[in-house]
Amino acid sequence: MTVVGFDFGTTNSLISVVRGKGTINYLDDEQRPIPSVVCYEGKQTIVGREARERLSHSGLGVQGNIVRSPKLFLGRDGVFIEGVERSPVDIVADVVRHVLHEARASRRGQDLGQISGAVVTIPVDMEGYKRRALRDAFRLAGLNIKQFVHEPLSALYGYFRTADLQAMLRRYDRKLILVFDWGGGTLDLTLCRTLGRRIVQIMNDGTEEVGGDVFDESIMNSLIKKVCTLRGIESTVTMYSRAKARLLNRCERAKMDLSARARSQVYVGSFFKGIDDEDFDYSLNQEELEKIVAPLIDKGFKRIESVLKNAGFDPEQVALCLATGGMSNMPAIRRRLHEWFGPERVQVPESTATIIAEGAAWIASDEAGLQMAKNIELTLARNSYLPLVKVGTEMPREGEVQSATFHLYCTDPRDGVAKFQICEPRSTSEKVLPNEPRIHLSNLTVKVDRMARPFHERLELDIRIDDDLILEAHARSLNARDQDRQEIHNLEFGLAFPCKEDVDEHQKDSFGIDTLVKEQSSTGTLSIRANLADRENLRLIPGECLYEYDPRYFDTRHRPPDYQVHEMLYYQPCAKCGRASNDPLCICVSQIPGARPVVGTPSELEEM
Amino acid sequence: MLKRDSLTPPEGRKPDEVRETGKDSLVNTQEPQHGQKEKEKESPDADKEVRLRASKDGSKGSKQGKPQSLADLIRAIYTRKRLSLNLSQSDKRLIRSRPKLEPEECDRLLQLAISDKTLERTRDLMLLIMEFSDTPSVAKQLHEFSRNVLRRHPAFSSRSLAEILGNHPDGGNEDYAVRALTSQNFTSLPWPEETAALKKKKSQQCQVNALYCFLLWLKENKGVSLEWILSQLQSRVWGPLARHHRTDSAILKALMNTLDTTGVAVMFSVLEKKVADCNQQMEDARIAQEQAANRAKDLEVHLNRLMKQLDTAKDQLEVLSENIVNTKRSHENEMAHMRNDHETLKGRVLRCLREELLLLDEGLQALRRDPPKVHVMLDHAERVIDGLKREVNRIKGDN
Repeated sequence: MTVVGFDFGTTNSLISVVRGKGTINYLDDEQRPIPSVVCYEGKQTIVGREARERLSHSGLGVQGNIVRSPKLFLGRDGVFIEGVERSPVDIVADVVRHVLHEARASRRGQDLGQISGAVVTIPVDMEGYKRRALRDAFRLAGLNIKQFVHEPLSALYGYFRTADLQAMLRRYDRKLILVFDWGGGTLDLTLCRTLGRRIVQIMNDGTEEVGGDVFDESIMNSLIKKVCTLRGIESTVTMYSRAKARLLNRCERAKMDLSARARSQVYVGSFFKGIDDEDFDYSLNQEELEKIVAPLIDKGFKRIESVLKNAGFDPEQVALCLATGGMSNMPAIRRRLHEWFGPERVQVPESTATIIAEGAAWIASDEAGLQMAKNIELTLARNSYLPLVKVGTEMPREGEVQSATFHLYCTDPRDGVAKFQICEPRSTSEKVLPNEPRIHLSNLTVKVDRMARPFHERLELDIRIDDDLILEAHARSLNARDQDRQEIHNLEFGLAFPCKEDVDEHQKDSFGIDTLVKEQSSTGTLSIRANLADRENLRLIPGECLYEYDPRYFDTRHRPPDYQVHEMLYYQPCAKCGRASNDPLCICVSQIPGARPVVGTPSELEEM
Repeated sequence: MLKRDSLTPPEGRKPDEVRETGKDSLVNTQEPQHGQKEKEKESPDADKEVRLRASKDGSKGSKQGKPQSLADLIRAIYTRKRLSLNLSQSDKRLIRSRPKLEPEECDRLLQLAISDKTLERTRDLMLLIMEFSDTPSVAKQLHEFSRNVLRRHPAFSSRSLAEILGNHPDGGNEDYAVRALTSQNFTSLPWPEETAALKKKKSQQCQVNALYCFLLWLKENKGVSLEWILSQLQSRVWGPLARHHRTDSAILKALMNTLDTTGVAVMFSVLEKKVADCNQQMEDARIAQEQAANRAKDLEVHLNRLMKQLDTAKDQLEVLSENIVNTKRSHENEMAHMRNDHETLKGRVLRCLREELLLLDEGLQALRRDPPKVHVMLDHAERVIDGLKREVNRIKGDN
C-alpha cells in the first residue's frame, strides 16, 4: 500500500511517490505535470493538457466552458459554467480522478502499487472549510487524504530530503528561510525557520496577480500592440479563432527560449483576419521581454519585501532563499534574487516543477507530521493567557481528532455574559512572554447567572481539532445552560522532521492544563487547585467538585464551611421543581414556612 | 507363615476334624492348642522321606507291614489310620521292582480312595510321587492313579476342572482353574447319594487339600513354576492366615509354635532368595537409572547444543530472508527508477522533438508565404538546432 504525494496546484497537478532512495514523478508523456484545467463540452469532460490547449487567455477561474484552477472555487456552493451549475467539489474530483488515471495508465503505473492515501499540498491561505471540501473531492475521486501540508513547507522538505537532511538541519538550524513558489498561476511566499527538527512558518503571503500566465498574457498583449503599431493595423482588427491561444503558446515558448538566447522570433501564421499579411511576426529580444515583464517582477518582489518587512526582517537575515516554480528559471527573476540575497543563499532546485510533489511524497514516506506552530490561548485577564493548545502539539491525521476540555469559573457575571477570547501570539517561540503581542482569533460568549457570585458558576470550554485542521471551540455555562460554538480555520502549523530518538513524549499530548491535572490525579491524590497550595487542603477545593469526590465531607457533623456548602448546592437543581438554582422562576423555597434562600445576590452572600 | 497343623489335624484328633475357619480363607486361622502341638515332632530328615502322619502308635504299624509293591503303598496310604510311613531305600527298591498296577487292583484302590473325602491321603500320595522321580514307571502309575482319584472327587466335577485334569486341549488356563476350584462351596459338593456331605470344618480342610492336590498335579503335568504355586498359596492359603498376625508377639508366637520348621525354613529361604533377587533387581535398576540419567543429561546437553545451532541457523535464515526481501525490494526500486529514468529521457526527447518539429513546421509555413519569410525560418531553424544541441548535450551528460 502506497501513500503518494499529491501536489494539487493552481495550474498543474502531479503525483509523486518515494521508491527506495528517490522519488518517481508521474508526469505526462512529455514530462510535464498535468494542468489543473477542466473543459465541459456537452456530456464530455476534458481534463488536463487537452483542456489547457483550448485556453486563449491567462487568468484563473472560468473561461467559457473551461475551468482553470478549480480548487479556487472550493467552499462555494456552485459554479456556473455556460449556464450549468456545477459543484466545485465535483470539478476538483474530475481533476483528481484524471491525475490518478494518468498516473496509473502510464508506463510507470506498475510501480505505483495500490494507493492507500495521499499527502496533499495546499496553499498557505487555504481555509478550513476549503480543506474540508478538498477532502470531500478527493474522497469522491477514490483517494483518502492522509494529511495536508502547506506547499512551501513541502517544497522545503523535498529540498532538504533530496540533499543531506541532517547536514541541512544543522546548517539552517534556527535560521530564516524564504520559500517562494512562483508558478504559472500564483506567487506564494513563506518565511519560515527551522527549530530543532521542526520547520515553523513565520509569515505567509500569496498573490495571483503575478503568475506565469499573467506574464505570458502581458507579453502577448504587448506584442500585439507593438505589431499593430509597427504595421499600422487598427486595434479593432479581428483575429482568427484560437489565434490568440496559439500566440499565447508562442509567447510562453519565447519567454523560455530567451532564458538562453538573445532574440526569438514570435510567429503565428493566419493571425489577423481581413488584411494582406495575416501572419503575426515579431522578433522579441531579451531586453524587450524584461522591459515588458519588469512591472510584474517588481510587483512580485514588492510582495517579498512586504513579507520580510511585516515579519521584521531584512533580506540580509535570510539564510536560504528557496525558489521553486517555473518562473524561478527566468533570468530576470533569478538575477534580482541574486541581487537581494546573494547567489550563495539563493537555491533553485533542478526540479522546480516537481519539488512540491516530491516533498509531499517524502513526507508521506517519512510519516512526518504537522505540529502546532504557535500556542492557542485563552485570554484570562490582562497579560494572562491560558494555553489551550500548546506549540508543538501534533495535528491529527486522517480520521483522528484531538480534543480537550477546560473547566473555568465565571469571574464577573454582572452583565450576565461570559466571554471567551481565543488568541495566538505573534511569535512562534515555544516560550512566549505574557506581554508579547497577540493575534485575536475568535470570541465566544455564553449567558451566565448574573445573580451568582464571582468564581461561582462553572464554565466549560471544549477544544477540538479535526483532521481538516479546523479548530472548533465549544463554550458552555453549566448553570445558565447556554452554549456557543466557533470554528477557527487559519491555524498555523509547522512540519516536524521524523526522528524517533527525538520524539518528545511531553509534546505528544500537550493539550493545556487538563493534562497536568490528569497526570497528577494518577498518583491518587486530589490535586484540584494544586496551583494554590503545596499541600492538600480540602477547604481550598470548590464545593461542587469536593462533593463529587467525597460527599461525606458535607455531613453537618463535620461542619463544612458555608461557602463550600453554597458552592455545592449551587449546582443541585431544585428538589421540588427541578429548576437550576438562582432560577428566578423557582419560588419553592419561599413556600417553605420559616425558610430563607441559601443563595442570593453577591452582596447578600457577602453579608452572610 | 503357613502352619503345618492347619493342613493336617493334630494328634489325638480325628482326621476329619478341622478348626473353625475365617469366611474368606481356605484354612483355619486360629492357633493350635499348646498341648496338642507339643505331641507333634518334626522329623530331622523330612526332605528325604515322606512321613505319613497317623496315630500315636503309627511307628508300630510300619514295622509290621512294609509295602512290598506299588499297590501296597497306595493301600497303605489310604488304609493305615495311625501310621507314619517312612520309606527307606530298600522299600523304594521293592516298589520299583514291582511297579505294575493291575486294572482290577487299581479299581479296588480307587474304591478305597473314595473314603478320602478330604483328599488328605491323596495329597500325601501326590507328595510321595516326587520320591519316585527317578523311576518314571512308578511315578507315572502313581500320577495316573492320583489323577483318577481327583477326577472322581466331587470337588473336581466342574467341566473346566475336568478338562484340565483330562489334559483337554480346550482346557482353560491355570489361574482360571484354580479360581474355579477354590470358589466352590465345599459344604455342598455333589457327593453320591449314599455319601454324607462334609461338615464345615471338614469342607475347609477338603478345600485346602484339593488346592494342594491340584497345584501338585499342575506342577507335574503343566510344568507351572514354583513361583506361581507359591503365589497361589500365598494368595489363597497363607495370606489370609498371616492377616491375623500383625504384632511382633503374634508373629513370634506363630513361628515358635509351628510344627513344620522345615516348611518355614524352605519358605524363608525362598523368600530370602526372592529378596536377594529383588535387591539385585533394585541395584540393577538403580544402575540402569543412573545410566539413563547420565544419558538423559548428555542428551540434554546435546539437545541444548542443537537448539543453539537451530537458533543460530534460524537467525541466519531470518537475516538471509531479510536480505532477500531487501535485495528484492532494492531490485524492484532500482527497476522502477530505471524505468522512470527511461520514461523521463523518452518524454524529454519526445517533447524536444515535438517542439522543434513545431518550429520547423512553422518556419516552413513562413517560407511558403508569398513573399517567403526567410527570417522566420532562419530563426526557427537556429532555435531548433540550439534545442537539439542542448538535448544532445543533456543526453551525453546523462550518459
